[in-house]
Amino acid sequence: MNGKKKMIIIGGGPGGYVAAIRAAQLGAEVHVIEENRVGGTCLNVGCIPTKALLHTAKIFHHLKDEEKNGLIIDSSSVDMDALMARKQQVVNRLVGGVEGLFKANSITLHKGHAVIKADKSVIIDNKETLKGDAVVLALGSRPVVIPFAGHNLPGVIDSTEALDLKELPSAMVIMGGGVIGIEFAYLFNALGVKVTIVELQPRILPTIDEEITKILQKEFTAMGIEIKTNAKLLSAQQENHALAVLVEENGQTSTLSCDKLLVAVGRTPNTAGMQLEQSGISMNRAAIAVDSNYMTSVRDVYAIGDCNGKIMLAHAASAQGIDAVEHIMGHKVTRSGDIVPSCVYTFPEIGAVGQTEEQLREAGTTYQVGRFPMAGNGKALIEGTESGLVKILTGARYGEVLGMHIIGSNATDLIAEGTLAISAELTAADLVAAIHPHPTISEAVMEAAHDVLDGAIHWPPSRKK
Amino acid sequence: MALEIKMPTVGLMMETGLVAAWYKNEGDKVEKGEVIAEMETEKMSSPIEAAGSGVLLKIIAPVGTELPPGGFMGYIGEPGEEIAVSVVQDEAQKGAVDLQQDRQMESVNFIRISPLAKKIAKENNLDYSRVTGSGPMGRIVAKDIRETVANRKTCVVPVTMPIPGIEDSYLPYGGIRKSIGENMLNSWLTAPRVTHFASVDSTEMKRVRNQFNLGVENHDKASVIGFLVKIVARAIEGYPVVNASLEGTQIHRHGAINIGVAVAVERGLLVPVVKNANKKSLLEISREIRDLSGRAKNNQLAPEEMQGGTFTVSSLGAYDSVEYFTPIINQPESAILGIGRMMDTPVAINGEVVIRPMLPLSLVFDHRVIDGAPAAEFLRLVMDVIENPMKFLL
Repeated sequence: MNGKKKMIIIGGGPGGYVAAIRAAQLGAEVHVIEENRVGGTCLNVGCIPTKALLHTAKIFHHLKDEEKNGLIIDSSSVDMDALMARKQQVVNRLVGGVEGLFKANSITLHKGHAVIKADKSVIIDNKETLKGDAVVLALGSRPVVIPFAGHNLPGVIDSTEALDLKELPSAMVIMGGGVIGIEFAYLFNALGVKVTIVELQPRILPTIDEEITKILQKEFTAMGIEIKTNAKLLSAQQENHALAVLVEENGQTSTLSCDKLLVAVGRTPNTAGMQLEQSGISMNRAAIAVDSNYMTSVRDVYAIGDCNGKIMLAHAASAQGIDAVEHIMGHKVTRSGDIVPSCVYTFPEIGAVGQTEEQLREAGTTYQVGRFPMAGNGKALIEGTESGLVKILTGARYGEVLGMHIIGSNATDLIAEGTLAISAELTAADLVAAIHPHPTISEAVMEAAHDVLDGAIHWPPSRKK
Repeated sequence: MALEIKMPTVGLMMETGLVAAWYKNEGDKVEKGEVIAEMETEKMSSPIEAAGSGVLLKIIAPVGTELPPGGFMGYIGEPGEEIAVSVVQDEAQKGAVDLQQDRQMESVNFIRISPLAKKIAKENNLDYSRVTGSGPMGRIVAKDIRETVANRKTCVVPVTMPIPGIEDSYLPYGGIRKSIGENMLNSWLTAPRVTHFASVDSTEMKRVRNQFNLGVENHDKASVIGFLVKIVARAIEGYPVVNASLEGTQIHRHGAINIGVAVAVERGLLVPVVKNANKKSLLEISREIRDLSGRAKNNQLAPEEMQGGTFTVSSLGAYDSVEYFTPIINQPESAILGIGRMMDTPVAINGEVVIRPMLPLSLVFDHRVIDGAPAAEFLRLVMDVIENPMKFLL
């Protein structure tokens, strides 16, 4: 082939923009089409703005504890305008950073709505037509809308709207106890809002190891967050200035009064209206069907990130983007694999990777468990997260790490060790053999690995497990 | 202080070097720059010079020892200088390992392998130094070891096998085993079959396939079976007589060319179907077979992926044993092509004996539908395509 490969990437989120940069590194001529701002959901209305708000909420939450520790605080309150402005500042800076990276890598950014045609050409806003050697669909996802009675009342909001509230409600009901719902519950509760979570499943965070979620549930209850599980939201009604939310719990219905009802029941691939099937692209319901190289049923058309419905996480989208682009360019594919950590940015935080104990039991795998309570860790004690836990699951035969589940402060950073352990096929003995710095919370990981083998050092044998 | 004498690195590809000669004995005086020993690789030999002056204190690696680059051969030092024995032994263990003997365990060759993979290899007593790693930078991961162990179990029969008390055992005849059995019996009782055997020169096919695969990622390489499915589909296009089923009072000559590929699975045999194989590219067919047979082995095939076949190909080539065989026709199809192992064979071409890779073919057909002569013509066409793939497939 003469000259550079030309690659067209639809969507500039964490899947699309990372793919674009990797493609430029490998020598392609890259075009990215984005209808809003680059950075996608993650940078604009997802990971980054929520974490910016959570950062301040956590400090506000901790101020109350620090009064016991000798810090005298005359008064403290929340300035919503300043909070939102700071959030936007962080977002703008990161979006600007991505745009800067595009320029530095000579990536062309087109603004507009793109559709792909059967001949693999891409049309932007019915005007400009681009044709390349390969097309990468990085369309992302949007919040699922549940059509219950009253779902379009003004007080019913989704996660995007929750990030842009002008003033704090006095009471909020959150539909959905998944990661998004749980983080918002912590955020608004910490800022002084009365929060009730309504979750259809028997427990919150159903994909996280149950032992971990039980600890979070206890912490949440102690903070004053009300959690209703096995509970179905039936309808919402406007009553004067408030919303009356009808909930069915164990066959009994009750009414919750709130100012805002946040619907956070998951996300769905952003494929509606893209006319993908007309271009011969096979779908799995709303998700784009792909093979192990993220190629769709149409040759040279790839789909990465949320829109293929595999793993709806920003870091998974980025990894898939890199793999797909390397495959297109005929480069050796990194193949990041399917060891994807997940994080919950509450306080305490949760970091999880690999299999949960429930999954191992269900699969009939014989395994061993090592636990280390944060109450045995000096740094955790100092930071006031002694209710936390590190739990390591290993294969019974070889001792390889199968899962790591952490609740406590810094859990979202600590879990990187678990991801490395699983993807590098390390055993509990390898984790023990690595010296962990003192005093840090990371020692709890080493201790949990000790516990898998012969018992933790800083925990009495009789009380262990 | 004692100076180490190390095996030099000669050429980028050097894995080990052999100590070919020592020109000095322990205790002899050596001068800096003096040739004291000789090493050789498979490709070349090279003198080893003393890195400093003194006496040859100790020879750790005697003539005939194979060492990796950097392996310890001995020490130069002051006359009478003591080298702590433990150091010598330690270095000897670390460096002067007899690779033939101890290559498999704590070898000095740095082998990228995960701790889990290492444990599984050790438990199965497997020499992992020869396993190709599929992890980052060629690191050997658990999957590689598991696959090697599994292949070893299926391919290698130990010469001396301890015979424990041999007891009778009873295996259930049901499920997939029974359904295979019934299909076989049904076909056997239904079709009066004849088999044509032929051996075909596959030099060109090999060459074209190698060319096609040049620089292609492993997972996208054209397999032999993929190539043969493509060839058979092409031959059926030219001679559709064999692509038929007997249906009551009619012989149904199929418009679609759907090639079944027999896949051995743990509990028996499955035949996933490559639909419209004549309309697919070699790459598409190879990918599809790789995907189908992978999922067949994991029991993940949907029933419709094993239906609708119009002709079947069954290859035993990978077992490196069978040449000709008489596979049973997959009803309601009318023919099946058996492929044996490709073998370098002396053949006469233009009055001269030359060695050619010959591929044995066995065409089994249902004589109710296909007669011997047309079957022979079809087989000739298959052979033509194998002999001249460029002419027919481009």
